Amino acid sequence: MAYAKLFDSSKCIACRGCQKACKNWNQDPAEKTTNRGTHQNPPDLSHQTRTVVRFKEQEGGDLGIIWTFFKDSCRHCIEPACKMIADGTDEQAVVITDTGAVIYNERTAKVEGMNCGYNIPKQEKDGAPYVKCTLCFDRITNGLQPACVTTCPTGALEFGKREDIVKLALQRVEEAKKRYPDAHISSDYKEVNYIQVFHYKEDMFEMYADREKQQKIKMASRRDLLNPKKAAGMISKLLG
Amino acid sequence: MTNHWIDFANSDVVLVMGSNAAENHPISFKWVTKAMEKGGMLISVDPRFTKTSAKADIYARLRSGTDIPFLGGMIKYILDNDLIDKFYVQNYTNASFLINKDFKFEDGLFSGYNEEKRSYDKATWAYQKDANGVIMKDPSMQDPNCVYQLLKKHYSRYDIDKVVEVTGTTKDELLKVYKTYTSTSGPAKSGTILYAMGWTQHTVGTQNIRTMSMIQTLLGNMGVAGGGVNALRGESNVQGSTDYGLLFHILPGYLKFPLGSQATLADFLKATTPTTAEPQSLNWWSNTPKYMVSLLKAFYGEAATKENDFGYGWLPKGDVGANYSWLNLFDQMSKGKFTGFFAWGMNPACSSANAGKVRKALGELDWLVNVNLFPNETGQFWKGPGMDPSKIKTAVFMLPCAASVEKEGSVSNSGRWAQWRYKAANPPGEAMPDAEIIEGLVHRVKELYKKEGGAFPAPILSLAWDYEENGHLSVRKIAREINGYYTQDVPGADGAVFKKGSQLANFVGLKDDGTTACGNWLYSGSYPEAGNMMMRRDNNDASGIGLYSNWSWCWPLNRRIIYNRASVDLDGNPRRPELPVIKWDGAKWVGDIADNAAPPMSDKEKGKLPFIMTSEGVAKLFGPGLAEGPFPEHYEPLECPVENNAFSSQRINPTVKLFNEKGEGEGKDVYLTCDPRYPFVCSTYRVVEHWQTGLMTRWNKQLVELAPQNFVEMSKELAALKGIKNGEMVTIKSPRGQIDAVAMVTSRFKPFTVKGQTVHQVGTTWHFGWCAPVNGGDTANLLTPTVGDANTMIPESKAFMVNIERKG
Repeated sequence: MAYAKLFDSSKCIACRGCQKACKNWNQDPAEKTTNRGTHQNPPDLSHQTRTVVRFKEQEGGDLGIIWTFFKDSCRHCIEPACKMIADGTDEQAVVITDTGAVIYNERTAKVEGMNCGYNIPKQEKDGAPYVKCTLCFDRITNGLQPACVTTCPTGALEFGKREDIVKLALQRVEEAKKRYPDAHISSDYKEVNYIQVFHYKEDMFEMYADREKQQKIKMASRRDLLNPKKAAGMISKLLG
Repeated sequence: MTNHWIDFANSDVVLVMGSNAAENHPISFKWVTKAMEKGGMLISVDPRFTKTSAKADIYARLRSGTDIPFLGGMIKYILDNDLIDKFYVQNYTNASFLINKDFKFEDGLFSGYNEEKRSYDKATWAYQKDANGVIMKDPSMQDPNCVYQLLKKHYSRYDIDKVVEVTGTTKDELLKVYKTYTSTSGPAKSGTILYAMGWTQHTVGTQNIRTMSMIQTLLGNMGVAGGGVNALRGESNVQGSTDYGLLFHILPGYLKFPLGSQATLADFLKATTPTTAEPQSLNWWSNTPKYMVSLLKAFYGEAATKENDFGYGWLPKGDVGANYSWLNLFDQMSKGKFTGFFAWGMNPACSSANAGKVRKALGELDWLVNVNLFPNETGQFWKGPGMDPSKIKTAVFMLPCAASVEKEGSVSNSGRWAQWRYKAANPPGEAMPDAEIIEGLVHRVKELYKKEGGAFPAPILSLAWDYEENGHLSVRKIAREINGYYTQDVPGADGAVFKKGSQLANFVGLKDDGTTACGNWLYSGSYPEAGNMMMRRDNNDASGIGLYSNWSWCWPLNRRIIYNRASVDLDGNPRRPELPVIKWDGAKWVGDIADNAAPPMSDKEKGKLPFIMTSEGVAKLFGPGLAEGPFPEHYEPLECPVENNAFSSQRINPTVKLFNEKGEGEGKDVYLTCDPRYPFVCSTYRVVEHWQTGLMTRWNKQLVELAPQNFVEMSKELAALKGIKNGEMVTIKSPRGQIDAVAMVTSRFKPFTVKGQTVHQVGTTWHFGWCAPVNGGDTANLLTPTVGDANTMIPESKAFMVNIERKG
């Protein structure tokens, strides 16, 4: 069954329970961090950090300040660019499961020209395994929800059948619009299994993903779907 | 809380003030979010734009320490625009009661002030009574001495322009808050207040809360679903600790602590049992003798007899006028007045106001026993910054104890729900549950007294201590004693007999003749013959308003919303039928457990007033119980950025205790106001990633990763003024100490304009300490002053003065 996860920024209070729960479940070690003048920590995703809540503070809006939070992690694309690229090296390196989860394994480390328009997969160093969110594949195939969803106190994170989550997301947009006229669903929601609802103008996809790079990868990989090896070479070339 | 967590979802307007609920009580937002989904409004009032503000419909900033002007302005707005819930105010409050004609208020002082003692003679803060002792009333509320008129007069001074001038809030924001919150007046809507330490940690903390209680009363929001006055407690079981008499001035169940002037039980009961001549007042505290005697029976068992005053003479007594609160305790310790000290589940070296003074005071002790999960700054004070271990005489013992999941017992949450928890794992190493450590101490101390006699062995040797079951201490046995049991066969109704040793159904059965024993009357009913009610886990909600009455157990009597008789009309019908809390069906109350079984008020003979815990039976808009006066009045924080109080010539609370000494420096009790060396207002607060002084979180690497170092938040304007860049290390100094922290420059703080002057405010946390993590920083309490609220002695950690400089 195809599942999806929803993030609704209008309900997120940045308690970062999701970030902690993710580390707990995956037994990822803590990073040594410092306070860099922001509450956001660690600074970015890494091979030890599969999800990070991003903080953004802007002046403006009805309250004078717009302070927004976004839980960034793998989008579990329906046609993942990373899969297209990996297939050029090894068709077993990136696996799309029938749950919708995009799963990496030890063979992913050897993929040449690995890339992601959302800049998600991270490795400690060249040749080391790529690490990212698994959609808690081990939990969802055993009747549990992803760890991040379980811990969310406000309903900012939800998990379920993809069709239900899409329905819920569109319903959440309508609800949020009563309070926030700019509320919208993420522009890529038809292409991913991690769908977002934003209650303010910007789209996090625009803010945190390299849209241009994403498009290039998508176009190249779609065109060359039938010839993954060619696709990988082409994408690497395109991206320099 | 008068209400409970789930009940927030029933609110039409949620005001979060004196709290950053989204940050520090994330689970509260489960229910606040539900209220908002139903169209409820969220208002955030805070000096700083917080995570709560980020979710709010309305945000208003105010200078720290000016909550009473902010709320006093709201009272004036309610009265000027006649927005009171008239039925409620007339029937369920003391608005129509007449006050002594000699009661006065002039220039910030109420009648009866004694400057030398910094306290009041409250003789004139009293009702006018007739020959029978019944309070005189004017139902039209026109008499110039009636509470309503006095209230109107008092708050007429809180006009909006003056409020704006003092709080630094804009007029527009202020009016938005007033308009939205007062829309909950009357039965059709309800508003709730969520507050926390942002209100209590001021020299006027209690009065902050009282001002809001008065607003809730004027709007008819007490006792209703989605209403009430709700303290979000800062620890998972602090409600329970308070219920069980953790504080110095109370015994379990909020019975008063005996004083030296009350030599006999009769003296004590006479002084602490209120009486009333009001015909429809239940005056619940008239039951004090039953609760006190039953408590003494629980303490001393068979040794407590009628002939020996049930052992009352064995209880320690307080000196009249003495105050044994935290700040005084450490002040005395710093003067060498203590030889030994148990720091039990506490880290005063970081959590106490003016922590530098506490760290020094610990060196005056002969011995210190630190009972904790982890070594901490208190147990290791002797090797802390600035200490010379070779010069410290204190012997320190560390007793490792079990964490909450390593032992069994109950936890009472902010909503008064007592929930049983089971042991999940054995404690590591030599760590033991607290109760077992206490038991070990009791047995050893008893042994010593038996062997050596001592000055006054009776209280120790008479102490009933029989909690063993199968060779181990049983907390279930303790819970059964707390509920109460019969100490002998007692005849019941219809010839039935309550057998000796059987459990009481609830506190209604308690007696003052020694036939019942009860460890805490408030919790009587939690463990009746039927079993441990705190273990219940039925998540069906028959009420339809989220009471979940069969989940855990709630004091008193499993009543989920207290003062719920104020939610009905005089005939017992819910004033808001779509959210009924209770209803009189003609013979009995249905719904929540009603605040007493007596019929509704229209039954002139048996009917009772709703506020059963006051001797008047009504909510007190005029409340003579507090130290500062019957109406909350604005006084500036002890350290503040303004020379004068705009409301009177009393700059600070006239009844606070001052601990001044000469000179400045590490740990000294110095207060400096309007001193150019300390020009900025500072508040302390918490973040979601750390807990209190960080003892349970600073050792957790994943949490330290999220929040690795102490920080100080400041406006862009202040940073520019001081040449501070975001992310660089700065030093914060107060007259008492200094700490380093990372500068977090943010638009979420903005300078205030107060009386035409620019006032900057900064904020920092008290989570860190020098033990761990490396480079984490130290507690903000090295900066805070030793000064407390005049009623509770809660320290003023939310408003004091500092300077801030780039670390050079």
